[in-house]
Amino acid sequence: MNSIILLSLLTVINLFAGFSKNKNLSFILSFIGIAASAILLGILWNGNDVTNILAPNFINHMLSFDNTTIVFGVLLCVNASLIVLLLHSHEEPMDIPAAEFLTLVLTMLVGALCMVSYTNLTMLFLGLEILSISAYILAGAKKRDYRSNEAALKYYLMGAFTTGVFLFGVALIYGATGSFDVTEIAKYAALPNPQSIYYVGIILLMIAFAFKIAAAPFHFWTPDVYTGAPTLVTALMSTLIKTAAIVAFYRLFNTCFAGATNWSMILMIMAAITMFIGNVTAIVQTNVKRMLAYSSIAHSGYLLFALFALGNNSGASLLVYMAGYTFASILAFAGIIVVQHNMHSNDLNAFNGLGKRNPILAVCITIAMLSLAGIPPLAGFFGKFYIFTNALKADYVAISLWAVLMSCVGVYYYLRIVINMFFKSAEPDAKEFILPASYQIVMGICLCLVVLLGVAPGILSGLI
Amino acid sequence: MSTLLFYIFSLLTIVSAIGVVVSKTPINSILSLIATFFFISCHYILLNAQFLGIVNMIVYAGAIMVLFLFTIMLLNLNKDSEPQHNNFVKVSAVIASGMLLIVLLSAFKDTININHNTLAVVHTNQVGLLQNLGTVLFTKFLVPFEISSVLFIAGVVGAVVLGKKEIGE
Amino acid sequence: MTTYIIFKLILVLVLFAVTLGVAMYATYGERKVAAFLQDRIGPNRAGPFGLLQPIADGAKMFMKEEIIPNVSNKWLFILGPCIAITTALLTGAAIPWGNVININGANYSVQVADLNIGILYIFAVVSLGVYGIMIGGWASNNKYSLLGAVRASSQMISYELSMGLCIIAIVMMTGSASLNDMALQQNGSVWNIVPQAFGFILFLTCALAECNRAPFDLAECETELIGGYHTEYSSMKLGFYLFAEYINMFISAALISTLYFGGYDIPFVNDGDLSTNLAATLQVITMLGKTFFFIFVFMWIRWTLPRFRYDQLMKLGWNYLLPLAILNLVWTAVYVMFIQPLI
Repeated sequence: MNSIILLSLLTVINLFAGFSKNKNLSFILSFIGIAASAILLGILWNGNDVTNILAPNFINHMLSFDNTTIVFGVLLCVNASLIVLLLHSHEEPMDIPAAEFLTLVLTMLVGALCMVSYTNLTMLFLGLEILSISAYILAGAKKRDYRSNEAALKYYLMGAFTTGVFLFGVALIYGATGSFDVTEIAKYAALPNPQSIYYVGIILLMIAFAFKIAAAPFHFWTPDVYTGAPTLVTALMSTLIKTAAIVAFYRLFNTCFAGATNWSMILMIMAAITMFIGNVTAIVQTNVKRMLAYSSIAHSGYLLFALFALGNNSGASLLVYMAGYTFASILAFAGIIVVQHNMHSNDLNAFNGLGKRNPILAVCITIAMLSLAGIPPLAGFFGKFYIFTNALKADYVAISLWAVLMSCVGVYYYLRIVINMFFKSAEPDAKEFILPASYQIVMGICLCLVVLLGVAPGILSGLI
Repeated sequence: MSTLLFYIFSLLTIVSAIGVVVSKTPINSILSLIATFFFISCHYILLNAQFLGIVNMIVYAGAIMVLFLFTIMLLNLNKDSEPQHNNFVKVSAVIASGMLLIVLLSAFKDTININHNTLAVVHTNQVGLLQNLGTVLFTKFLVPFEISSVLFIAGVVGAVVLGKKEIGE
Repeated sequence: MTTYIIFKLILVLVLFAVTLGVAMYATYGERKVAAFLQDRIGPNRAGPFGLLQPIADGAKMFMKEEIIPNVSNKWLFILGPCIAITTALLTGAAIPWGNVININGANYSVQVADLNIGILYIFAVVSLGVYGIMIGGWASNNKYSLLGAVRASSQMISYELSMGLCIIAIVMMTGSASLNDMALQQNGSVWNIVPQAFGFILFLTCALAECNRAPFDLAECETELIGGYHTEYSSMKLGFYLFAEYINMFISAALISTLYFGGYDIPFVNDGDLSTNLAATLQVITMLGKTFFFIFVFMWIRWTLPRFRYDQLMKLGWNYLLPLAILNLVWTAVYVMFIQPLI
């Protein structure tokens, strides 16, 4: 709770920091604030809640900070701080001032933290809305770019509609159970004969979440929005929002609906379609951002495995997967931003000959792509490994085979960009790329983490 | 008496909601939507939740819909500028929403058999009054109430940032 | 129960008649006040002192030819003035005109409906009143009308915020949103005008803007927009719009008296000493007296101050009134928390 309070206060302070002549002030504030909130989350480990300043009663019914929450919360904080660092030497023209941009990142983080720690559906709804509204605005951060406007509008319209669906689902579940509290709902779910509106409610919630994590058949907004939004925001959307949404989804199903698993068939079919659409459509893309959008859809398919094959290890496998995916994605998007800045294009051909012009950057992007493709010994491999093993343990053999097949398809388009970088020659007049300092730091951190998690995934999976 | 009123208001709500969808001119749609909100407020008042009813009226009918009307009036939309959809979209929309309707109908049919005592909500006629609402809001739902301010900050920042005129525009 | 219903029905009818009567004579009052302030005589031909003038005006309105522009949306064109007058008349229901009347040993409140959210009710109905203007202005299919309508509605939305904040301050003082509680709370103690003097000025300004009265009558300023949103209206439909405006002024004045000047509280008299019915009668008279005074203030302001420019109006509303209203809210919190217990 303290971390949420801190971040909420910081949003306001940050706005005032925008008045300051010192441009770095709001960056420093945000960075320190996010780090502090990660620490504040960390000290709650194993229930050491010593610093509650509000009457605990009010909070306990709304938010709870168990170890799963804390680990994912810290992951979200790290994710956000990396994005803040990237923004610091961001050279892509952004039409909204940095202080406001950072404020929106912070509100997004507040929403995400609410979503990973809720124990009451009202908090889940508020978190989802805070997250989404910040995202709608950030998607339109390039005000003079029609693509960005289109992305913001599309995302907003679809998102608002999904919010309606979500609320309707919550209302129906409330109608059946008479409570917003997850423990009460879980009690109801354990009863022998739940009402039909309860099931309809679950399905509507599923639809809303499928939209947020961009799972088929609710993924149609993703390519346009990911492509149109500023690349940094795309990175934020494909990592932070996805983590928050999938964790919220996981918490909801793990705590509330774990008793009756008749919804798992729906999720399984959804996962199968999502993996197919994501991977196969990504093959024909020539725009790298668009390709990564489809890749992000495909990853949602793998993530759904953790939900329908719900078991003791689901949380841990989700964590390893999400961590690997997050750092690899940030690495990839950071690379794309640099290339875009120098070549003024996101096209696959813009990456031609990158291996010669800036080998370090090329290696970074390669590692990111390999991790996303799930090549051992990188983080992405172990994420997939844990998730598929869990599914196989629960006797989901056919879908696991399908997923492995789809992963193989994925390797093709991830490697295409690598081939372009190393085996195609650049235009003759190309100059050398320069990596700004903060990009070097962020890419270094991500690179280390991707490799580290690939070598020793146990450090994360042992946590929960 | 209140059952009769309930049916009257429900009928009016549904009729005006259908009006929103079927009317050809945007202005009529908006006006039907305002009527829908108005009748929903009546439902709230029927449940003795006067505060919610009135606030629903102030916020939706009084403020948000005015802005809607504003935009529509200034854009001067009419029948000709309505985008044409092809038949495939229309048919699939009909099938999809028809299926949703069937699912919802069958689900709600089930609720007739509910034993009302099993519902956790103890409905008294005092529950919607201003004082009780305030008490609940500042005790049980304090955290969501305060967190919603972050939502508003995000909204305000967004409105200012996206709506502000830049120098030279 | 039957007596109760009959009493309330009579009250509704009386209130209806009084409201319309006041609105009618407010037109007369306006012209007389204008004449007084401009050192003229004003209407003096129809009846003694020109007292029959409003009736003559009304008759003229009825007789005039009714014109519905050919191209306008006919239904909406008629709906506009209907909404305007209906919402204007609805507001009076929540205002307490007196405390209680004793009939055959039973006490009846001299208020059509003592809603526990009375002030919000008025607020809601007023905010619905915008539609009358907007729909009428749009249905006229005339650029001046549309501009007038857009001006009126954006002005009303903008000033509703500050007005709402002033009202919240009063609600904080009272601890209730019922108008009767607000009047009772001031009864026999200090009127709200003392701690809320600042809020009163803000509220008065907002009320002027909400009523589309000068100096904020930009919706119908003749120099720019011919007649504003009712340019295309004639006959009794125009009459309805004008009536709605005067009724709104009447209700605003009554609201100001209730919120800041003790409502039906008779100054310097302990109401409890009088017999119930005598007290009620005097209270109604006092309340009407206060209301008429504020109607006079409205007119006084109209004939004293020049009209604002539209950008000035918006700037005033958003840049000055809103922050000041928030400041007033903070002051009220301090007052309720620390100063009131000392008194």
